[in-house]
Amino acid sequence: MLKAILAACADAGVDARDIDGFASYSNDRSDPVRLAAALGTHRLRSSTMQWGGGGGGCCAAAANGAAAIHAGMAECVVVYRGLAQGQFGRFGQVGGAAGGDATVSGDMAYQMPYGVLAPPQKFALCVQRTMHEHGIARSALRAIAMASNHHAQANPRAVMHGKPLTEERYDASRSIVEPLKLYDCCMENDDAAAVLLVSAERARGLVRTSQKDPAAYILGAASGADHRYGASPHNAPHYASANCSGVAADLYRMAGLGPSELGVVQSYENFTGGVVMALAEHGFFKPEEANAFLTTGNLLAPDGLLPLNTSGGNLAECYMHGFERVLEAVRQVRGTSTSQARRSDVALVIGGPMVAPASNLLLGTESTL
Amino acid sequence: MSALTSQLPPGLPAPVHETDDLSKPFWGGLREQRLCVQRCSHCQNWQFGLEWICHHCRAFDPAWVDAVPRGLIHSWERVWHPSHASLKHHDQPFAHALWQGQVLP
Repeated sequence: MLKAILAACADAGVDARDIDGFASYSNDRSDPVRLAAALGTHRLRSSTMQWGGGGGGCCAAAANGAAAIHAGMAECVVVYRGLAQGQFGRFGQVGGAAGGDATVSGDMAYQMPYGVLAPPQKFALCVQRTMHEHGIARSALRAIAMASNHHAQANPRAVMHGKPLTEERYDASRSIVEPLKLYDCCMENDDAAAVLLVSAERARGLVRTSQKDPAAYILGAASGADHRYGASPHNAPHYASANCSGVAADLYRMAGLGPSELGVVQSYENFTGGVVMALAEHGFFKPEEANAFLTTGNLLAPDGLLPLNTSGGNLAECYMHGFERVLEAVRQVRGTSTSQARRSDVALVIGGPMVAPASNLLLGTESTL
Repeated sequence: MSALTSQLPPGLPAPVHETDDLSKPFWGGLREQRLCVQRCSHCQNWQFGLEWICHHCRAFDPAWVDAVPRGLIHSWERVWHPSHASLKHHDQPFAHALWQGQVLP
C-alpha cells in the first residue's frame, strides 16, 4: 500500500508528507492513522471509510475524498485500496481449510448452510432473474468477457496479458455457478492502488511546475442504494437490478452530462451479468436492447460504440476490487491508456453492480470543466 | 441455542439466531415446522428480512405470523464450484432456488 501511495505522489509531483486525508472502502486493512504515521505526514485531517457494498465503494471512496477537499476539511487526499487475500482470506473461499465456525447467524444464516457462500453464488441468482426478465442472451455476457480480455492483450500490466480468450474457449469453459461460467467471474489477486486528489486550482499548479501528465478532473460522483435494495436476504423489491438507477441519475445531474456524451466506460465486473444491468441503468441501452448492443465489436477501443473496461478490468487486468478501473479512467482522460478510446475527454467508472451501496465517478479533461 | 443440523452437509455451519434474539421466532418456528415471518399489526405490512421496526409505518416490534410455505421460484442457480472445504467431496452440482412467498390471509 505504501508503494502505491508513494507512486501516486511521484506521479503528481506531491511530497507524501503533504497528504492530509485518506479515503478507502470495503474496510481496507490499511488504517489511515498508521499510514499517516508511516509516511510521516505533517498532519492528518480527513479519514473516511465508505460503509458497505464491498467493491461497490471504489468510486464512493474517491467521492468522499473529493468532498472533504471541497468542504475545506483537507487539501490533499489519497484514495487507496490494497488486497492481500493470500494471508487474510479470499472472497472466493469461505470457512478456511478447517471448515470454519460451527454456527452462523445474521444474513448469512439464510444462505451459508445451504451452500450460498461466496460471491458467485450470491450474485448468480440476481443475474439469472435479470436474464429471465429481459431475455438477456449468453452472447451479451460473453461480449463483456471478450472485451475485457481483448483489452488486456494490449496491457502489459494485465494478469491475462498474453492469454487471449476466444469465443470457443469461453463457451467451452466450465460453469462456476450457472448461469455464470469461468470467464464471467472476476479473478482474485493481491495488489494495491492509489490516486491523489487535490483541488482543481492546485492540480493546475502541480502540472505547470512539475511538467507531469495532465490532471483528471472529477465532473460528478454518486453513491447509494435504491429503495430497500439492501433488504436481506435477497429481498430487494426490484431484485433484477444492479442498484445503479439512483446513482446514475445523481451523477448525470451533477456533471450536467448524459450517457450519449460518454465515449468510454469502466464498469465493475464482479460478474459479467452485473455489467449488463449497470450499463442499462446508466442509460446506454434499454434492457431489451442489451443483446443487440452488447457485441464484442461494440465494446472495443478505439472505435466501438462504447469501449468498455479498456485496461482489462477485474476480469483480465487485475482484481484491485474495482480501483484499477479508477486508474484506467485517469489514463483515458490523460490519453495514456494502452487501449485508448476515440472519445475520452470524459470517462465513466461504475462501481459494484448488485451491491448496496453502489457508486460511480465521472472524470474529464480540464476542457470539460 | 440448539442448531438445525439434520439436513445440512456436515461441516457447514448451522444457522442460529443472533444474540439480540431478533430472528429467534423465525429459527424457533422452523424447528416446529412453522414458517414465521413478520407482519405489522398496525399497517398489515409483511416483512422479511427481519427488523425491529416496520419499514412501512415505522411501528416497533412487528408481530410474527405463520406464512403458508408455498410460493413461486423467483430465480435459481446451479453450483458447480464448491467454495467451502466441506463441499469439496459433496455431490456437484447442487441447485438453489430463490423463493417468492405467497401472501395469504
